[in-house]
Amino acid sequence: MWQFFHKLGSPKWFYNISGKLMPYLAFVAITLLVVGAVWGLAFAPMDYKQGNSFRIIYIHVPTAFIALAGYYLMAIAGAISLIWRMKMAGIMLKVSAPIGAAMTFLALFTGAVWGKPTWGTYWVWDARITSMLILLFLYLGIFALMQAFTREELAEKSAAILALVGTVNIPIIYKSVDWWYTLHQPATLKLTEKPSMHPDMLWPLLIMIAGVYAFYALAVILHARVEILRREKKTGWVQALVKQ
Amino acid sequence: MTPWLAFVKKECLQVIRKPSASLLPIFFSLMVTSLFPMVLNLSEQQLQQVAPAVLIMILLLSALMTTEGLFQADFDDGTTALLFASPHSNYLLYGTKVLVSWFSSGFMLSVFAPVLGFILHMPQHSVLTLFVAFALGSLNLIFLGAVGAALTVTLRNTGMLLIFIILPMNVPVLVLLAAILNASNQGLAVVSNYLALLGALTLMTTFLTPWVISAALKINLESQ
Repeated sequence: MWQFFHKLGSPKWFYNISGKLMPYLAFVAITLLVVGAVWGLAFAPMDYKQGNSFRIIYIHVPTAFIALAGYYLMAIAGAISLIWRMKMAGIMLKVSAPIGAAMTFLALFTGAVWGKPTWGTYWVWDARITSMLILLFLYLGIFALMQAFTREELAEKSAAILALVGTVNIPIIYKSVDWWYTLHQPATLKLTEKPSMHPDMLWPLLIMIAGVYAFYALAVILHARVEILRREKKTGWVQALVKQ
Repeated sequence: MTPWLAFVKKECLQVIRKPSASLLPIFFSLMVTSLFPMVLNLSEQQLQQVAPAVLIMILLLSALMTTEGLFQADFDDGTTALLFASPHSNYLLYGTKVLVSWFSSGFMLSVFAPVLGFILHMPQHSVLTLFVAFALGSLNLIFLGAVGAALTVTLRNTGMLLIFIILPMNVPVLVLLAAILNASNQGLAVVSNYLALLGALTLMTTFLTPWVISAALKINLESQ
């Protein structure tokens, strides 16, 4: 167990193993996304109230899921890099910030597009939209802080601390923003309750969520591999790789 | 004299010898507050309605301006390094430092908060609410801002960056302050409940952030 944990921290090991696993991951991600998107956009039944416009849920909900999960992933990577000074955790922290920000932006954007036919307006100042916007600001803050430092190590540690402070803050932000009374429909998916969606609509959504998770993992790994090569460019194994 | 008291004395002396640092936030807020009635051209009642938003923005900006560069002088002249080398608790020292800086800026501003409310035609019964809300709110905002100041202590011209990284964390305080001032405008009794909530949040921030501040200063020091 511990040996595996330590191996995971070595950029070289990560580069080799991720290179072997990546084709499978890419296959899984593409299959899930294609199946989920075609099923959801073309074959799932129409919503009796919202008509076809509800279909944007198949992009909106998965990206919103990954936006929040990505923040926690980033914060955990930050904690690991602070506590065990693991090289890979720092790289993960660095590459997951812009990807998470992009996912948050996508969730906000699709939400706005969905809001126009449903509510009659692109933007509503309701609790969940505002929390997502603040999540985007949190991501951008971490990204900006990392960009401001010239020394890589200091940038990572500072960003890790900021991400951890943000983690403590997120529940408080959500609760406080919740006060602004909500116009947003209640959450579609809850783990503890029976879903309020028809199974024919639900299955493609679940497939899309799995697909977006796989896509996120793929994007993080791809960026991490580039970052590894950039950082380890002076080491022997990268030099050998380039000469091949 | 215990080392802690000596530290408090040093911090207080620094504040007393530079009174402009505590006067500037007050003048800044007076000037900005009186600008709003000039540019908005509203009736008394309308002015009262926008007053919470104006006052909160002013509190936020003055808190951010006080925290910018809060640790820079100590860091550059080696005081921070000495404090870390000393056996004393950095948690306590930095908590104290931020508290003193709050007293000299945020607290002084809260004393003037009723005047600002008066300029914007807030109702008379909101004098005490304004003072307590400003005192608690500025305490919270300054401790959060100090985290940002500690993280960016080795950087120069951090004003914009500081706002960028700390603003999202300030949202709960701003929401509570808005609730308090709006309720006070309408004369609702629920104000005291909101004030209690803000007090709880402020206590939490005050006790947790000094750890983060000293950790942030430490990593900046170690990578020198």
